[in-house]
Amino acid sequence: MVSLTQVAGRVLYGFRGKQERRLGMKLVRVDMSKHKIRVEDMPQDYKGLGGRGLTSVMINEEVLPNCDPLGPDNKLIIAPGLLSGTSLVNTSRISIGAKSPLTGGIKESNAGGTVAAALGRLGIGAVVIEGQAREGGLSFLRIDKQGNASLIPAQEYQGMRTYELVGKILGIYGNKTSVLCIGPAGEYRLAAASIQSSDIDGRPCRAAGRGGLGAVMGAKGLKAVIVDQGGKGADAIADSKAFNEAAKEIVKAIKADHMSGNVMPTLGTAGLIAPVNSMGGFPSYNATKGVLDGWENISGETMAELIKKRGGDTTHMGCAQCIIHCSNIFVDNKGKYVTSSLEYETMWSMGGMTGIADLDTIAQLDFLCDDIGVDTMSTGVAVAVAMDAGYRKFGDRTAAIKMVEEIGKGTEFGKILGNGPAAVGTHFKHARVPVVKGQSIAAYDPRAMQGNGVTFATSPMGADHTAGNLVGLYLTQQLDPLKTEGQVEASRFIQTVNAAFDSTGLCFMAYVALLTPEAGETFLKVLNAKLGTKLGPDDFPGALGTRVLKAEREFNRKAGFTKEDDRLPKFFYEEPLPPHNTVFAISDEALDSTFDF
Amino acid sequence: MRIRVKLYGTLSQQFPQYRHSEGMEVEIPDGATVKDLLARLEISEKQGAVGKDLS
Repeated sequence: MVSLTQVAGRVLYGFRGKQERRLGMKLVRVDMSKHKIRVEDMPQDYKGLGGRGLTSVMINEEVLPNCDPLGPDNKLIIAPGLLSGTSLVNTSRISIGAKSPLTGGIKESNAGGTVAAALGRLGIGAVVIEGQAREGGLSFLRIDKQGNASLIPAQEYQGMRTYELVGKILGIYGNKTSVLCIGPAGEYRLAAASIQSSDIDGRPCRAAGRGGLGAVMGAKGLKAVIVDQGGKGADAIADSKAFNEAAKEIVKAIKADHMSGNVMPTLGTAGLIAPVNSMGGFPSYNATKGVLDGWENISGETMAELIKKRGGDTTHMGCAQCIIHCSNIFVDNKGKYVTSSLEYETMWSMGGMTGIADLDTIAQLDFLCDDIGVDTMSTGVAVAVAMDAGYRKFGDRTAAIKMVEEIGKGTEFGKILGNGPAAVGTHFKHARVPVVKGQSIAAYDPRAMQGNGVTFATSPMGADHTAGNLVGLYLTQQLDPLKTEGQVEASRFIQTVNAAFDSTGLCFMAYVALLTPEAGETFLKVLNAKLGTKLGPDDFPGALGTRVLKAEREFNRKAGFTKEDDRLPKFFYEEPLPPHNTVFAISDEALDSTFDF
Repeated sequence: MRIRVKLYGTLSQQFPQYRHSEGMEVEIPDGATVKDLLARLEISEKQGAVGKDLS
């Protein structure tokens, strides 16, 4: 067992009277092969980095690009953002990075919940899981409120699903505990396995879903990371007066923003169902149509009314220090909890792609995925590919539930499904598989939203809307989604912005309110007050975002990726998407210029 | 003519009695346009546009 506070007087703190002053963030390195834990100061090269910036730069620096993602040479890096653990609102996003077993490239998957704030309050900049337990070995990593980190045998929890697991963990360690964990899918090392993150209510319903990082955690022999929320060792704020003043302004900016302050708490992300279907860009029936028949049955407006009628919660607070409340609690017709939070992307993958326009079925599928520990997006698309291949009919609710259950049971077909859409396509010899670098697209068809196609094609993460989503520009009519002009530039801009903000721990739902020059300046004040820096608008988001993207692309290049990997599947170029009947029309040359910074 | 209107996003906040499952019945003159309808409901063109990225 290693204690942060044991070495506090020597390394961590400079005591000034009763006030403890931290001298920088810590790295907790956990060697699963030797069962040893080492705490070190944040190396100079990683200072000023957090979240995605830290995971990506560290992976590029420390992970062998050609290593087996499920072998001992890969590293699973869990990093709160630069501002996580401070009093700034909406800063509890956790970045989890590794070489992905799904894409074969670098991966950062970002989740909400409470763990980022908890780690930040302990002054921990990252937890790095290295090596590999002996075959069949399973442990918990526990970090208590003094910062003591220890590995605890967890064999008895083998195969346990996440809701039961987290219930037991909170029973042992108390409710003021944050959990990151895997379900059976992670233990099976399936390429679409997620890492689930506990929310304010202690439910494992937030997910670092993308890229199969649950499989990396399972391969390490780690079932859960358990962090006490009562830490009082947060990294010092360089200028707390300036920080507090600017932080108050950030609250005002978020509250005043129509999207963050009004649409999100009213409808959540599900508010996108209606406009994206109206734009004809909602990939449906395995991306053969741009509008889902009966989308009104699953719209955000319909869902909000249904949840209220049944006694659920449409303005749920899911993450630590959240003032937006975009989350919801979906309940059944008897008012009993089904899942939280039903989100746009899941409603698309489990509803649009499968042709299932039924909220109760989608909610059940969402719960199943969280409980088994698989990405809802990759899984929904995998089900859709199987349906498209003729395995089952589109719209078959019972079949979809049964298929996802098979992942949890670890049947032969379940394992194919849990390895994602590309594995399903290979199994059925079916070519229409909407993935890039092995990862499924999100709920925006590239043929109807050309710029999102640019992001899907070029992001080092594989197809990923969180890397750079242009739907906001389309909805506000700042950019024509069907034309090729301006799409590459817009994608470059938003990919850079996201890479920077995802390094701070700030939620996307909050930072969309900070993209005006005035609010951006206030955010810089917060960041500079925290770090004691004098960063300007060129440094953040520009230079930081560029640095992160360059590190990610360098890792992928060393892992064998070429520009040919920055392409969409062939059918997006050849099969027109109704109702606009357009194809993806951005040239290869234009795609290759996306990262001409 | 009498038409049924469905409101999306936060537009329904202007109409406390609105229920999405039922929509809202509105009487407008024959030949009226969407623009006329928006004016009748006092929904500005600016409100008609959705804000920023949602997801």
